[in-house]
Amino acid sequence: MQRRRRAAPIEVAGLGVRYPARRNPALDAVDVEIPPGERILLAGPSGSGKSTLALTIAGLIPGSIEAEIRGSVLLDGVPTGDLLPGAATEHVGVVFQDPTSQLTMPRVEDEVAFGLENVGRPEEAMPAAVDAALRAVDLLDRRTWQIDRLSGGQQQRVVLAATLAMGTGILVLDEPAAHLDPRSADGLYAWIHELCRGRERTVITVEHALDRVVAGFVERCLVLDAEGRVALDGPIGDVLGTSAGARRCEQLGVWLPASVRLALLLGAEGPLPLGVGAAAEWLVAEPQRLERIRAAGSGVGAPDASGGPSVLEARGLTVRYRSPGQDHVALRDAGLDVRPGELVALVGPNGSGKSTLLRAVSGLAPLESGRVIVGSVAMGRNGPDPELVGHVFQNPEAGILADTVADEVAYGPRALGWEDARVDRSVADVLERFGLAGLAGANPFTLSQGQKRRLSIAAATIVRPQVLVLDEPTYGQDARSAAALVDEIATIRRDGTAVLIATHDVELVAEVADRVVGMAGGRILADVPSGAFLVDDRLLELTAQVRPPLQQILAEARALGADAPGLLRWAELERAAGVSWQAEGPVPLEGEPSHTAVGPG
Amino acid sequence: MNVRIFSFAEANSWLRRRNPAVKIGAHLALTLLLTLVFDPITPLVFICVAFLAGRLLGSVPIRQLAVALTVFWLLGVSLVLSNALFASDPRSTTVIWAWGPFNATVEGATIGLSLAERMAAIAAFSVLFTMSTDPTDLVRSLVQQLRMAPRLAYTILAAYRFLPGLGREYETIRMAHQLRGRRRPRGPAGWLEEQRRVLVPLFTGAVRRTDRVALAMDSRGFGSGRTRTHYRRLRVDRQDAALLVAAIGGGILILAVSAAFGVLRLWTGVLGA
Repeated sequence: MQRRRRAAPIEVAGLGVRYPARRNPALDAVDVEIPPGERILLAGPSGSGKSTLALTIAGLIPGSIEAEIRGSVLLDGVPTGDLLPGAATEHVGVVFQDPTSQLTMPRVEDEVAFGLENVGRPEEAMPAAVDAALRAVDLLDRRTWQIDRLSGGQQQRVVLAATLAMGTGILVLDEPAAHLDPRSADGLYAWIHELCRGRERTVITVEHALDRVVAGFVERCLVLDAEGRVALDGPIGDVLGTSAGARRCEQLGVWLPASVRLALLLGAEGPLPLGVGAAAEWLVAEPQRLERIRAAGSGVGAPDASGGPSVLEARGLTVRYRSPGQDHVALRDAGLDVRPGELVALVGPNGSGKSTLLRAVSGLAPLESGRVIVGSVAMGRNGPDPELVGHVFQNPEAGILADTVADEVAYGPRALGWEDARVDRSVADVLERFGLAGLAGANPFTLSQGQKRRLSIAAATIVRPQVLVLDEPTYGQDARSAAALVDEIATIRRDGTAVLIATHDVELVAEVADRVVGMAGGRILADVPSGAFLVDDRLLELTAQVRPPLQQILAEARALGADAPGLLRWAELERAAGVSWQAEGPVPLEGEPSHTAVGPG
Repeated sequence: MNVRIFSFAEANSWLRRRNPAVKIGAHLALTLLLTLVFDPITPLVFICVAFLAGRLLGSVPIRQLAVALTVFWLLGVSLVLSNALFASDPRSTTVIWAWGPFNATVEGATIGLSLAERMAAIAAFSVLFTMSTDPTDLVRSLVQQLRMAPRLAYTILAAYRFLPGLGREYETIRMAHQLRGRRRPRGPAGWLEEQRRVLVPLFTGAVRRTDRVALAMDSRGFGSGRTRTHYRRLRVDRQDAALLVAAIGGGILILAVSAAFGVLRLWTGVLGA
């Protein structure tokens, strides 16, 4: 772009960062040098200070986020503290997680120009710089569009363009694909790889979906431990690509790439494959590896709950939202059957009608036609009924009604007029089951995101609804909390509760769903067993999904001529390897930061 | 056709291309003139002018503007009725209808009509302004022409972007509460409690988002303290000057003609007839 700057070398020495009112530092004695043009991955468990390190290098800590700092961060040999205000932003551009809360202007071109205006770039050079940046992300034809009309993936490309226009030599990616559907996430990373192909830009990546970055992108990996200290630092092949390094990462609570996890589960020692392609080649290299995979995988779906009466029966659901001048059919003639204990996942691009279908099932959406029967009761006549359908919203804070965790869980039973003794008994039991017993007296708003989600599930399930509905339960959650959801769902299903989940998380679908309902444009396109969905490329594309990394590896192995199974779940592999989801133990409650502000972590 | 009051319609028009600061000036001038008028005929002329200007200069169809003003038409009717019944002393006025303690008077109705029309006229100019003004241009103009601090102006613009999201979040929270089996509370204390339960999650969410937006803005050098340059310079040209002159001149002309025909009554410094 215009005035591209040479990437500045970064020198971090003895860096300690402590947020106000926190006992433990977020970062402790971190030393790292990042030469110009290097692409480095910052990894670590939740709360280990990955984002804190990235944002400190970007000069936003302590400038914009209040924190106590020790040690030094040098950009181009100059301490970031001594740089003139705004100077760090000319060295470092940041792409954050959520597109909607990092775009500040209504229109695309103004957004890209915003940074240039802020730092006082010459006006005559601006239009060319804006156009060049938009051309680089192929959005030049959307230059005058309202940003709200773009998809989430396109909005993140606008953010990329805005950092490109500044000509910054260092790009910080703070989980930029976390809020996108899988297909858009892959698309965004394809753009990032393309834009950073040359050596002239330093890239600092924080990402939990490591499969997108370990192959052919990042070359170095720095792992932080839960105390914010550097645990491992070296070439990615040494840190994640060896059994010793990967085991250490696993102990630290770092989410491993699928290729590495697969190789470890198959008992590999020494160098491990990084990325889907490498994993496929590694698999076919030795026959006994494929052998073990075939032995582990049944290739069929989870235990089949077919037969038996449905607990939820929805027929011909149509929901139309009318406002002056607008007439929007959000759901068209949708039908669904779910049996007790069954888990059905709704997938589809944003705006495809998933949430509307969930709301129609819980009696929250105005039905133009159709009916919902739960048990043998017709929904919708008397509004929602929490004993028939429990509903957990995407934002777990939305449903909070009480000032303590225990009262929050007791709210539903009390509203139904349960006796005090029964309420107390049930509350104690539910808090125990969802790992919240130690937090009974805490204010719900002070919990971590993962704890809040567990609380909202506990509060919805205590009255034993026949159907539980979860809207995007892993959205905006870190990898560990997302994985813990698998256990939470198992807990719910044990009681025979049918579960309906709307989600973008294809790994979650692969692990827990019996059936997948694919949606687009307010219609149900398909209602198939999850095993069939995960290998149906046309359906995956229509619903904006991609195969989960493990299935991608199997597909590549088959393309190499190997006799690999069509479908495999981590749970099956782990069972075969003698590890289980439960064996990882409960999710640690300590050290999970409360995401009240920017979510340092 | 999506008619929402006070929202920007993206039609390109002569009015759309005028400098927002000048449009604010024209609007203020017309509002000031309208507040002086106290008869029911003159403001009617202003309303007609607003509709004509919207149609001819702003590409705003007459029906669309009329629909956008629905709330003000209804308010107007209630103003006329209430003033007819309560505004004046029935002993010194013309009673057209009486029932028990109620006396509808011609004088009251006239005052009500005048009030209603002035309100509608000012609202019509306001709606024209918002429909024909790009929010980004408005902020640029506030900074460039009216010397508003960029820190404030651009923060307002960023906040403006997430108002619709806040509305959706409010709806979701209400739904979530309904779903938990929350009954509608009774009495003022119950109402207050309900508001607290809705507002706490709404505000914690909003604060978190605000923090994120502020961080993103800082990461692009917002508040770097350097002299801001501008991607688009908004200037005041002859046509803008023409708009201002036409608004002030036209307004005064309407008052003058109205006075010549003897219908104009100006505010004399006291409320009521």
